[in-house]
Parts: sequence; structure tokens; C-alpha cells
Amino acid sequence: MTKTSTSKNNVNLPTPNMFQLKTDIESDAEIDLFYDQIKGKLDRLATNPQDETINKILAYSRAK
Amino acid sequence: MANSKGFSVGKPMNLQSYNDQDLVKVYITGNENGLQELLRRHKSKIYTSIYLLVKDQYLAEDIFQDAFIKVINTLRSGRYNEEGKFLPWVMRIAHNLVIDYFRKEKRTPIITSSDGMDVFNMLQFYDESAEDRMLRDQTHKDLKAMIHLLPDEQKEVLLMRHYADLSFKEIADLTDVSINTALGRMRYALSNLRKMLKTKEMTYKG
Repeated sequence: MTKTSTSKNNVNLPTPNMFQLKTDIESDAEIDLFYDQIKGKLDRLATNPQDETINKILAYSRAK
Repeated sequence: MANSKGFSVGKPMNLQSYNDQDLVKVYITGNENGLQELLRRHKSKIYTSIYLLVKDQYLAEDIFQDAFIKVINTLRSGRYNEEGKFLPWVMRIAHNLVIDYFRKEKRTPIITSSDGMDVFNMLQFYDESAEDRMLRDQTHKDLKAMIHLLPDEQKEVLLMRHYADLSFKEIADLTDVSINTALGRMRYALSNLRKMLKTKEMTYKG
């Protein structure tokens, strides 16, 4: 019996680089700088649950 | 006087100086103030992460409450694994509840896409309604909207990293990906936000 096999032709296989986006041209330093610039704005989106929700949780705990 | 766990009993404790693990122990030994301090310490991190994922205040309140009910039940039943850190553990519970919600509703949180998806197509939709919003708290709203436009996996990492203050290792564990993938998602999230903000600026100028 003859064994057959198919060789893997890497030429036509997609490589990870083929899926890289143009975002990759941005350097890590640029991204870091941008993050530093918007941290304050992101922080201002932080919000809290209502006191009523906290009170319900604490009441549940006390009743448990 | 100290109890069997080494925590003082019968006099007020300065719980703000306790770490999370000690607060959990305080709570498990019957002092409700342990939970109160944990909530005070982490409520904003957890709630903001939930809220920015589900985009609905009342739903976010419900999920936040359900998460802490699970926390209480687990702590009270003695099933809490003390080796794990408290915040990542609660974030995991909250994260699973958010996923459960979207599964039940058979809807996806805005956009499902692979990591590197270009957001410009979505921006066109966003820009269509932008004019209506210009008069109301513009920057705040725009940024929130841009976060919502991010692909889910990028949004998750951004929220967990920025608001919940989780490490990339913790995020990787929580989302079942490698640390490099978590890092990459954060990078793409920031890159996409940057592109959206640039496009927005050009819209204003042009």
C-alpha cells in the first residue's frame, strides 16, 4: 500500500501579517500617550449604583 | 480582645486600612461592616463596568445587585476560595451575569466582531445622529458612545482594565484568553477610540 501525503504549501496560506490592520502602524508609545490623554475623560464616565441598590444588598445580607 | 480569626471584637475597627481578603474574613465572621466596606471600595469599579457594557442604568443596577447576592451567598456558605482576589472574583460573577442576560435576550451588546475590526463603517451610523447630540454634554456622551461602538471583546478589556483596575493576567483569566490577547485587545480598543476621536474632530472642523 502506498502512503500518500499532501505537502503544506505555505505560500498560499494566510499569515498573521495578512490580517494586521493599519492600526499596527501606530507605535506603542503613541497608544500609551493617547491613553494618558483620555484617562481623565474615561474617569469622568465612572458612576455609582444608587444608594437604594446598596441598601437592598446590605438588607439581604443582614436577613441571610 | 480578638476573635478566633484574629479580628477585634466589641470595638469599632478601622476597616479602611484592611485589605480585601481581611474584609472578607471580617464579613464571614459575622461583621456586616466588612461587606459595607467592600461595597464602598469597589462599587464604582464594578457598577461602571456593568453599566458601560449593558448601557441601561436599571439593568446595570439589577445585575450589580444580583452579583452581590451571589457574593453574599457564596461567602456565607463558606464556598469562597480565599486564594482568589475579591475584585476579580466579583467581576467574573458580574461578567457572567451580563453574558447570561444577553443570551437570554438573544441579542448582542451592540457589536460582535473579531478583534481587529475597523470601526469606520460603524462611525458612519454614529455620525448620522451626532448632530442631535451636539448640544448636550458632548464630550461625555461622545466618549461613552464610542466605547459602546467598540467590539465587545475590546470593550470588555478596556472596562476591566480602566474601571475595574484588573491586571492583564486577571483579565486574561476572566475572559479565558492569553495575556497577550488581552494586551492586544486593549491596544486595539485604544487604537479604535483614537481613530474615532480623530474622525470626530475632523467632522467638527470640516
